[in-house]
Amino acid sequence: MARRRRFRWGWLAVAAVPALFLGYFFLYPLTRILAVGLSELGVGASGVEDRLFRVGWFTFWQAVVSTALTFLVAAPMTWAVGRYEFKGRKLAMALVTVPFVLPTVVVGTAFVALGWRDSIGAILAAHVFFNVAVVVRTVGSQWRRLDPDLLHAAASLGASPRQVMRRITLPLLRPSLAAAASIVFLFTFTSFGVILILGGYQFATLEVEIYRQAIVLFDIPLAAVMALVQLIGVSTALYLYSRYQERHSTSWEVSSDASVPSPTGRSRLWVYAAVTGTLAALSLPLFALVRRSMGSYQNLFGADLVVGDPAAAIRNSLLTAAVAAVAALVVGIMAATFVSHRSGKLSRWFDTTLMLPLGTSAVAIGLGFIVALDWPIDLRASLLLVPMAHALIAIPFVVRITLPAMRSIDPDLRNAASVLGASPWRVWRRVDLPLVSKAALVATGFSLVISLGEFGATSFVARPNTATIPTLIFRLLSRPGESSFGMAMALSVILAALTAGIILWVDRFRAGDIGSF
Amino acid sequence: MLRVQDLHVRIEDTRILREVDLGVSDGEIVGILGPSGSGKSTLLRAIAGIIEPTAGAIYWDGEDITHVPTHKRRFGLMFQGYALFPHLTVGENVGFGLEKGADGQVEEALAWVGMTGFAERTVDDLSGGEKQRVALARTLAPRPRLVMLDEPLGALDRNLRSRLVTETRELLKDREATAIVVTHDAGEADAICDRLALLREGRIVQTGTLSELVAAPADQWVADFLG
Repeated sequence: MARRRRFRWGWLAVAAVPALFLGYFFLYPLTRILAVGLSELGVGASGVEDRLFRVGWFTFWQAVVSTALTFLVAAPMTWAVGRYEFKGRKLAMALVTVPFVLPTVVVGTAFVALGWRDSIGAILAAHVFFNVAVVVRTVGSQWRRLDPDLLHAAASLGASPRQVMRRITLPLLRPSLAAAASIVFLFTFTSFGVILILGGYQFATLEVEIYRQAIVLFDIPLAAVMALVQLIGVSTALYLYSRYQERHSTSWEVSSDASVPSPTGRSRLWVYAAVTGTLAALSLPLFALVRRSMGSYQNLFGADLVVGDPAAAIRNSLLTAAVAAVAALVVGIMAATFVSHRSGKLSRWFDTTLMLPLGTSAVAIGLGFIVALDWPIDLRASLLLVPMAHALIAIPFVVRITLPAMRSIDPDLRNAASVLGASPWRVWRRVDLPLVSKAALVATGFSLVISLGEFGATSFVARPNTATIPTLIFRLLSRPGESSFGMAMALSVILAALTAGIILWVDRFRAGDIGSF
Repeated sequence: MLRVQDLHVRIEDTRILREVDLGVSDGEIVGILGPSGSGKSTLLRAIAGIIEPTAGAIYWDGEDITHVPTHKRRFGLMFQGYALFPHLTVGENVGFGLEKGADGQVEEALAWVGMTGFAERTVDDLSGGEKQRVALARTLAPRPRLVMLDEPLGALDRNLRSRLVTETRELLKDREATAIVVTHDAGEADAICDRLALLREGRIVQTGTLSELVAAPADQWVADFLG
């Protein structure tokens, strides 16, 4: 007496909202870019290929050099926090992360404050500044979990410290080295704000060139071709990385943090030198930024600026961040609910699709919006466009933060509620929601920070009269004169303070490390 | 009364239950006895509607409830790991299946299991034995038409178990509950239940009281299992 399995329409509704959101705001614009780009490639206008090759090559090599330099600069501190336990280590880890959470526009402005501009050196230095935390945190945390007995065994077999490092430590650290390298490469390959501010069009990467073609020269088809090349580059990097991870995911004995020794004698000196040296170097641009901003705060809110009203931009940014966070939270939590409750191919496929915006450059997302969102109604002039772009970028983070919390809920808690008479909706409200509320608050903080600092997509879709803080900073920096400069610095400090405030607020809810990142 | 007819459950190509026929009369306590992995918990979950059977049917008082959603069956299931909600107090756990404002019923249910005064405590503060009692109170509080207990004494130490065996039977009999109790311990099953069903590799191989099963085991496996 076989019967048809009952189909749960409720799940279709839960999946439909994220699927429609992603479909309309991400997959559909991307398809339109692909269509425009491919048709343009066929035309083959002369000189385009040359320019494309030059920009593409520069994008690639600056990312490679940035990654290498980041590892070089991060090495001493990674060694110190990976190898030893010492007083102030947690504080040092928090401080080294500060540049990473700063909006790219703030990082760019900070290097302008140092007087570094219009040079490849400034771009590389800003990339290193931004990404040191990725290496220190990713590699350092794996280093701490290596079983010290492996190193002791090598030493007892006669290996010198240098040989232990080369033959045992580095090979065992390879997965985290590869992970850190991929992340830094991806970030620098798709870097936009830093390069636009510090390099201008003379050091254009693909991202900057897409922006220039689309916004300055209005050549949307050529911008689409470049976005296509960029997507291929990013996808290839992600594919190679995941292939590498699959082949090299060996497991080994791990030990707890408790067995990490404290430094003694000479190594103590080296540890503190490495940590304070790194942190001092990282603080230089920020000090310069704060110093140069002094005296400009009054101008910021007093003078009538041609480029836009800072108070309005702050209001705008906060409002945008609030709307984006709500949208990202609703869509992200519905998606995470679906993925965590359903097993099988559909759920896995859905999970992967949700991560795609993370691997797509913000500029491509912005370009996609202006190319595609004139259908079925013209949304391109809508005030909702900026928050929706931000929500799209924040959704992968919301999913990655809330999904582990949802997956860790014992399914029998839901079954128990259900047996006691709770409908699926009541189960979700009384069991799931309270148990993921902490993770949801962290996700809210992340969404707000992402939205406040977002520059790439915003520069495409924000309208002149609805500037956000980052777009206004960029406009101020583009204007000549000391006063505009000072005001850009002051606005950057305000943006950095807002970001820091939210991160500190979020930190109160972080019991251990929630989610990935 | 409950009637399970020719029930099959297959999970990802593994046949967990096959051709299961089982009846439980009103007010009767039936024990499901079998080694671990024999499908005991799966049977309870299928009856509760948590797992969808691949084939077969489940009837309550003659009505086919095979496709009635879990929350509408008005059955009670006490989970092996208790599944107490960590974010709710003891009282809120016990009151979960009751109407809002039924504080009197919560206290009454806690009194049944000797846990008066524990309503405000958090679940984390409870010992293993206390958790077991709270889970039992939560299961019984809404007065379900069928009570199912999955290894109710499984996680407790020997002394506590022998005491709770008697208490559990008295509690069920006092409420005239129709019940299914899953366990892997023959003595315990016999002490709590009126009748036993032996489950082996997803099939019910024999039913009867313990003395009947021991006196006339259906095959060598039954004889060995009952020692």
